[in-house]
Parts: sequence; structure tokens; C-alpha cells
Amino acid sequence: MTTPAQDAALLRRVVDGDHDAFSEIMRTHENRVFSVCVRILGDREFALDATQETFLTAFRKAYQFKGNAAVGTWIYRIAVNICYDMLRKHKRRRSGPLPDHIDPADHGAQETMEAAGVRPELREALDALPPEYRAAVVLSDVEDMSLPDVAETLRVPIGTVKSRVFRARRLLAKQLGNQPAL
Amino acid sequence: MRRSDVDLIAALVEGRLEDEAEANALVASSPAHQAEYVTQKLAYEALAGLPAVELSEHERAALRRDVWTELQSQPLATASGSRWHTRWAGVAAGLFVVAGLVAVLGTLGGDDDATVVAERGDNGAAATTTVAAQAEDITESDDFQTEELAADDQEGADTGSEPGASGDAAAPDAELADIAAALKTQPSSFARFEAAAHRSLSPAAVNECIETAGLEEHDVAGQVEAAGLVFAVAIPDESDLTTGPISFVRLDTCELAPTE
Repeated sequence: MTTPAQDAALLRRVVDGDHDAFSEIMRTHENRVFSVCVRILGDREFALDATQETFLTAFRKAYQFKGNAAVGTWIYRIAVNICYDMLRKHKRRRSGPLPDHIDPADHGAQETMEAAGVRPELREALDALPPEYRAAVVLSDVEDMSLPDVAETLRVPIGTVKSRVFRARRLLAKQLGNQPAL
Repeated sequence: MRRSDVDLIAALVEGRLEDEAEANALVASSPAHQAEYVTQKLAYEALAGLPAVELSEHERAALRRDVWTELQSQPLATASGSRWHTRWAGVAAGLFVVAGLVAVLGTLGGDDDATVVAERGDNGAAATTTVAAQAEDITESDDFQTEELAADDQEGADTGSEPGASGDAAAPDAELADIAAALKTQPSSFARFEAAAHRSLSPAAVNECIETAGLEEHDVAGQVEAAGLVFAVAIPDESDLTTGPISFVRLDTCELAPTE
């Protein structure tokens, strides 16, 4: 695990053409970027694409990084924007319809449901959120980022983050409250 | 519900308070506060309890392989050099417009803080010069959020627009139509219509505002003033003022303005 200062030094080396430095940055952040993308997109395959695109973009735009935020925050910002683009373009939130009934013998269906790492009713509730609300509540409540870090990642004021998280939770609770108890 | 109540309930739900007495008292003070606490807590705990998502070893290997395959086809120096050229050309153009704006404001004795001249989204090529009072951006954004929460309390809907505000939108129609016509034929005339920035929002807030108005996949070309109101000028992604349809979004209500 690298510190923000180490990350910044690594990124400077990336600009100078040091591929090992970029490998180190990927190792540090790839899991969390992937996790954020899975939560926002609700689809593991799309999330992998988004993660790949995130690091490609980070590599190409490394020279633009000014150091106003942590490298991690900057990378997660790229990831969130890429997820927004994918949601707009694909307007899909799953790789396929989830089965109404899981046959215990159908391991493929089981993996599909579990691959998103979330209960189906919660997945549906997250999918129903506007993308901006979804991103805010995923970063805040799932990824456990502080409000200032979420604000920095999303490039909005802290007040906006609070508002989005607040509303997202309201919508989620309403959705979850309509689901039959399991 | 007041903004401070919302913040306190959220902090209680998230376990961020050292002393929870005040928050507990607030929750107990009314059925509405109690209901809100239960709602927030239900959602927060559902999300916080989600299992971690991690790349499998296969996925990790595939990710790294695909990234490096793609990067090996792109020389780093050439890519960054061409983008620097593009970026600085855009910055030079923006500085030219800002210089003109500052000259005009200086003649008129205008405000110290000016507006965003042009802005593109995060993923597009950057060609932005922004001159703004950062403190005012934060203040304006807090007011924007207060409006949102107040509107929700009054209307129970997630629109964020002020009730009864649409009646004023009819007044600047003709002026906006004239501005649109001028921009289409002569984009450089933008400086004539630039808003004097007394209600400038941060770029992120302006983007959010045009999306609230229903203009997704649009860029903000700048802000103009008409009939005493400030409007964001929005054009579809990857178009410009001469080719794309020009839309105006009123920045105090985030409503799409009709034009004649």
C-alpha cells in the first residue's frame, strides 16, 4: 500500500515513461476501482471494461495531474466518469436478467447473482437510483470514503454530496421497504 | 426538515458523533425525525453490510494484460505532447476571451469575480480557462442545496426547482432567441452576452443544473445574461455553437428556458 505522497511520486515517474511505476499504481488501486465500478454499474463484465478504461485514461492523462487531490481520488474520479458514460451509452445495469428462481443445481445462475456481490433486492434498489445519487452513496456508504473525499472525487461541494447521499438513502429505503421479507 | 437536522441525523446514523445526546434528542423530538432516522439507518446499514468485491486472480491477470497490450501501442511522449498542444491552444483562446471580458468589466467598473468562459467535461479534451471567486462558488452551491432540500420538503418531489418559478421564464424568450441566433453565426460574439457573474456557480454545479433540466450528454459553453437572469448555454456533446442546437438553462431554477 502506498501513501498519497508516494503515489504522486510514482505518477511523476509515469509521466517520465516509467512503466514499473504505473504497475505499482495499478496494484494499489485496481481492486477499489473495480469495486466502485461493480457497485455503480451492477455488472462485473462492464466493471472490468470500466476498470481497464480507467487505468488507460489515467496513463494517458498522467501529465495533466496537478496534485490538487490525491492520486487515488483522481483515479476514482476518472472511474466514476467512465461509469457515468457507460450507463448513458449502454443504459444497462446487468449482464443479463436475473432468474426469478435459482435452481440449486444451476451454478451459473447462482454465480450471476453472487457476482455483483449484493442481494438482488438491494441491487435492484441501487439500479433504480439516478447515477449521481448512486455514485455518491456507493463511495460514501459502501466504500466508506469520507465526505470530503467523496466531494473531491465527484468534484461537487460537500453540501451536494450530503444531499445526494441523503436522498439516495431515502430512495433505497423506500425500495427496500417494498420488497417482501426474505 | 432543516439542513442542520439532516446533517445531525446523518452523522448519528454514520456513527460520526462523539456525543450523541443532541442527535438522539432531535430524533426523539418528532415522528418525522424518528421516521427519517429509521429510513437513513435502514439504507446505510444495508449498504455498509455489503460484502467486499475483489478482482479474481483471473480477472486481475486479464486486466493487466489488456491494459499493457493497449499501452504498448501508444508511445507516451507523442501522446502527451499532442495533448499539450491541443490544451495550450485552447487555453490561449480562452485567455483571449477572458482578457476581452476583463477589459469590458474594467471599463464598466464591473465585479472582480468573472464567469466560466468555456468548459468541457472531464473525459473530453480540456480547453478551459476559469476565472471565479472560489469562496462564492461554495456559498452559491450551499444555497443551491438548501433550495433543493427546501423544495423537497414543500413538494415531496426530487425536482429541486422553486415552486411557481416557471412563470418568469416567458420574459427573456425573445432575448435568448436573439442570443442564440448571434452565437450561431458569430461564436466570437459570446463575450457581448457574458453574464456579469453575480450568480456564478461552480462548473460542477452548472453541469448538474443542466442535467436537472434534462440535458444529459451536453456541454456547457458558458453563461449569458438575459432579462436580468443568468442562463447556462448548453450544446450537445461533440458539437459547437455553430452546428449544435443551443439550449439555455436558467441557473436559479435549473429549468430549460423556451426560446422563440
